[in-house]
Amino acid sequence: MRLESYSVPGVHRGLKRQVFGLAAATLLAGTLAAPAQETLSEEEKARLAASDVVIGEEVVLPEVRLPFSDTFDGRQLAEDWTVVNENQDKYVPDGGAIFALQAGGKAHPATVETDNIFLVNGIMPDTDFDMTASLTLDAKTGYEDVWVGLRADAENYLAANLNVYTKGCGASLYLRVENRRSLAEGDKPVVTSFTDNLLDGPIIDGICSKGPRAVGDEIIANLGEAAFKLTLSRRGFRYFATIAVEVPPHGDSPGGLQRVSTYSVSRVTPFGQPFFMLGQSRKARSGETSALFEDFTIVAVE
Amino acid sequence: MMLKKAISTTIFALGVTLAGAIVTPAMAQDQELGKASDVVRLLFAKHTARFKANDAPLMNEAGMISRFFVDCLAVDGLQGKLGFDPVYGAQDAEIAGLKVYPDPDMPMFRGATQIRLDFTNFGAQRSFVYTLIKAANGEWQISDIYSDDDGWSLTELMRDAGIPNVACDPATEITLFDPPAGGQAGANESGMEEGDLPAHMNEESAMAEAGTADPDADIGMEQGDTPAYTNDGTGSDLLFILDGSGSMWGQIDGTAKISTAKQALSGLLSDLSGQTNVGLMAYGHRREGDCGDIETLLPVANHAPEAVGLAINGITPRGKTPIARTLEAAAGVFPAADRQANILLISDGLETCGGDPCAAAKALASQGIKTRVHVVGFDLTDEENRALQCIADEGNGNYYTANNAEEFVEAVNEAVAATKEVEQPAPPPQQEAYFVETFDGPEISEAWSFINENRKLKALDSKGAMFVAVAGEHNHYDKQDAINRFVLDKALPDGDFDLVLDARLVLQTGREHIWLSLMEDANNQIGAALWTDWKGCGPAIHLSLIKLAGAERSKPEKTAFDTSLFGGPMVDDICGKGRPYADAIFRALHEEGAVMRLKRRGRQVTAALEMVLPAFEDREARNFSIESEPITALRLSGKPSIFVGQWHKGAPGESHFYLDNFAIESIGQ
Repeated sequence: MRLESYSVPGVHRGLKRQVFGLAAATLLAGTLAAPAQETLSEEEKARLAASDVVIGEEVVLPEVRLPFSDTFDGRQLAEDWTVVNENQDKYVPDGGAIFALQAGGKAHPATVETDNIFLVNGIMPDTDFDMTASLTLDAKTGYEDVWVGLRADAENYLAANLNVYTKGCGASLYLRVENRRSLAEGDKPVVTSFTDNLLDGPIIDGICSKGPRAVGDEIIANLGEAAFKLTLSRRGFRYFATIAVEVPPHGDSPGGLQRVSTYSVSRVTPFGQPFFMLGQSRKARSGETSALFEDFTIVAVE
Repeated sequence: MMLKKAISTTIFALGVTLAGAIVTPAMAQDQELGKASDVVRLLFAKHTARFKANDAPLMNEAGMISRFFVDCLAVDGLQGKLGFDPVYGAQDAEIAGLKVYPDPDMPMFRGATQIRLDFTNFGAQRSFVYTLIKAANGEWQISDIYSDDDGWSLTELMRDAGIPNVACDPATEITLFDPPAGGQAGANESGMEEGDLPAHMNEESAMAEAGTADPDADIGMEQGDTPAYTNDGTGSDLLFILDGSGSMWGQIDGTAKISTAKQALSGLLSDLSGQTNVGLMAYGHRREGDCGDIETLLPVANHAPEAVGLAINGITPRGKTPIARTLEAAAGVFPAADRQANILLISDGLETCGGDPCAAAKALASQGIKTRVHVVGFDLTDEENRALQCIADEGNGNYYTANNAEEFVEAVNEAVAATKEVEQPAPPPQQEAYFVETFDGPEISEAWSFINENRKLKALDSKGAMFVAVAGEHNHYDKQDAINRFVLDKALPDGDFDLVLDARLVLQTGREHIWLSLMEDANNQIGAALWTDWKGCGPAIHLSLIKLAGAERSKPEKTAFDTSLFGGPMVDDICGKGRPYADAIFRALHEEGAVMRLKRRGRQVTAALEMVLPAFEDREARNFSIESEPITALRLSGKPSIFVGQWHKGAPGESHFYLDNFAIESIGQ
C-alpha cells in the first residue's frame, strides 16, 4: 500500500512513525475487507498500516500550533480532531461543549477497544506546555475516570488522570499521572505513576470520619456542578498532573479554588498526540458515567 | 548545577589544572569564626575599659549595645534592669586569664557562630558562650550570651525580667561598622568605623580609652591571655626565653652576662615589625634552687616595646636552669593561631634540673608545623654548645654561639632575623583535573560506556546536564542488572585522587540514591552513596561509604559507614520543627544540587558531600560539608562509575536525577 506523504519542518524523526499510524487509521476505513473491519480495532489497523509504509514516504502530522484552544462551539467537532474508535452514540458536540457518556467499565487509554478517544490531529512541538481540559463530571457510578495527555497507542501514553473510586467508607478522589511505554524492544509495557488521594491529605483529611466525609461527598458532587480543570504539564523531560477544583468551606479553611499537583514521570523523546477521554474503571460495570468537556487548551510555557 | 554556579570553589570552570587557589569551606569558616571572635573580644575590651574608667556601663546604653548585639536586645538601662553585669556575670569584677575562641565542639550551628569567652573573676573561673548571627551587611552580631557556670542566657533573663525586646529590622541592623546615620549610638565615642580594626583587632585602642596602653596592667594578664593578639594569620610570634639562673651573673669582659643580654634584647625590640607579637619567659630568676621557678612574664601578644623592655630589665638571676620544663611550658604561651611561632632561648648553661631539653624541643616543634626553637648559647664550651645544639636541631631552629658581648648581640640579632623569615606555608595539595565531563553535549566523552543501557531513561538536556530517570523495583547500586550504570574506561591516576560528581536529586519516591564508585562489578565496588528514605514523618537523606566484596552470584560482604544527615549534621528534629527546613534542603538538592566525592588518600577511602544549605526563615544560607569515616582499601581497583537508582519501594514511581559534572581530580603531594 502506498500512501501520499507530507512532511513538516521540525518534526522529530522518531515521532514520524508513531504519529503516522493513527493518522493513517482514519484513511484506511473502507479499504480493508469487511471481515477484517469488523474484528480489528482502529489501532490494530493503524499498526498494520504503519508496517506497510514505504520508507521515505512517511505520512506525518503537523505540529500543533500553540496556543491551541477548542471551546467546542457548534454541532460538529473541528477538523483538528480525530475520534479513535468513534461511537457517536456516546458523545455529541453540544454547542459549547462535548457531552460524553461512558459505560461498561472498560474505557481506559490502555485498552485498544476504548471508544471515543478524542485525539488532536497533530504532534506537540518540543517545548514545555500545559495541556488542560475543563469539564464537569457526573460521578454516578463511583468509578469514573477522566484522562488528558499524550497518546501514541494503547501501550504508549502519558496522561493526567482524575478518578473517582469507591471503597469502604465511600467514594474518594484520586489525582494520578500515568506513564505507560515499553522500555525495551519487544518487552511488555512498563507503567510508572504517582497517585494522590485528594481526600486523604491534599484537599481534606480523614475522609472516613463524619465531618470530612460530608465535605468529600460535597466535593465529588460539585464535580458535576462546577467545571474543574485537569492539566498535564511538561517541564523538560518531566510531566506531572494538576487538578484545579473548587472546594467548599470546611473546618478552618475558607474553601475556594484549590490546586494539587503530582510528582513527575518522564519521557526523554517526544511522542504521541494530545488527547482527552472519559473513562470508567471495571467496577462501574453497566453503570453510566457522563461528562461535559467545555474546552481543551494547550499553551506553551517558557 | 551547584559547581557550575560556585565557580570559585570548583575546578570545572578553571580548566584542566588548578593549583592552590581553592578557598575551601573550612578556610571560609575559619575566617568567619575569626571575625565573630573579634566582635566578642572587642566587646569585652570596650566593656572593661569603661568598667576600669568608672564610666557608664556599656550594657546600659542601647546605642552601644546595638553596635555589638542584635538590635532587638538594645534596651536602654539593660544592665540596671537585669541587676547585674551580663558580660562579667557578676556585679563586680577583677578579671584575669581572658581567652576568646570558637567553641571547639560546635563553632557553627545553623548559620550562627558560637564563641567561647573564658576568664577568672576574683580568681573564680567563668565561662560564657556567645552566639552571633550575621547581619544583612555581613557583620556578626551577638544574639545571646549563655553562662556555662550558672546556666542562664541573656535573652531568657530579659524575658524572665519582663524586659521587652525592642523593635528591630534585620534590614536596618546597626553594627560595629555600620552605625546609624548621623553617628548616633555612640559611634563617635567608640570611634569604630570601617578600617579601625585592621586585621580584625584593635582592642588596644579600646583599652587605651581606659587610660592605659598596656592591657596587661589593666586586666591582669597571665599565661594564655591574648587580648592584644593580632590574629590575622600574617606575621610571626616570638617568645624570648631568658636564662635567669645564677650563672648569668658571670662576667665577660667585665660585664655580667645578664646585663649584656638585657641590653641586646632591649635594643632590638624597637626594630621588630609591628606584625611580630612578642612574649617573654624566664627561669631561675625568682628563687634559688627551685626547678619550678618558671614564669611567663608576658604572653605572646602585641605589647608595646617599652612594656617588654621593662619586663626584661626586671629579671634578676638567682636559681637553676630548668630548660626542658620551660620549653614544655612554652607551648601554652602562644595563642592558637595559624602563624609562625618562634622561640629564642638564651642560655649560658646546660639543663640543671634533670630534664631532657632536646626531647622537650622536639615535642614542642611537633605540636605545630610552624614552630621553631632557636638557641643562643652564651659563653659555653664546645661540649656545652654541642649539648644545647640538639635543642635547635630538634626544634627546627638555628643554633648560635656567642663568647663575648659583641658576638652575643650579633647572635641575638641573627636569631631574631631568622624568626622574621616567615616560613612559607606548605602549598595545599595540588588538584589536577585528570578527567572532566561536563555533560554539556552534544555528546559525552567516548570514554563512557554503559552497563544495561536504556536510552529511554536518560538523555542530555539542553541545559548542560544528563537527565536520568529510574523505574522499577530492581535498580539498586548493587544489582547486576541495574539499568544505565555509567562506567568510565580510563585508568585511574597514580596516587591520591577524588572522584567528584556534581548532581541534583529530585525528591519524589523517597527511595532515590546516587552512587559514585570504583567498580569491578556489582559485587565488588567501593563508593559514596547519597540516598533518601521516607519514614513516618517524611523523607530524610543519608551519606554512606560502602565497600562490597564478593564472588559473582554470591552475597557480597558489605563494609559501610552511614551518616544520617537529617539526624544532626544538616538539621535535626525532622519530625517536628525541623521538618520545614529539611524540606527546604531537599528543594535545594533539586535546584542547586550537591557535590559528592569519593576520596582516596593512601589506603584510605572516604565519602564526602558538599552543598550550600539554603536560607530559610531565620537561617542563613551556609556551606555544608561532611566526610565519612574511612574504609581501608589495600588493593584499590575498578573503574570510576556513576549510578542513580531507587530502592524497590520506589516503584511504581520514578526517581529523577540530573548529573551536572563529573571529574577525577588527581591530588598531588
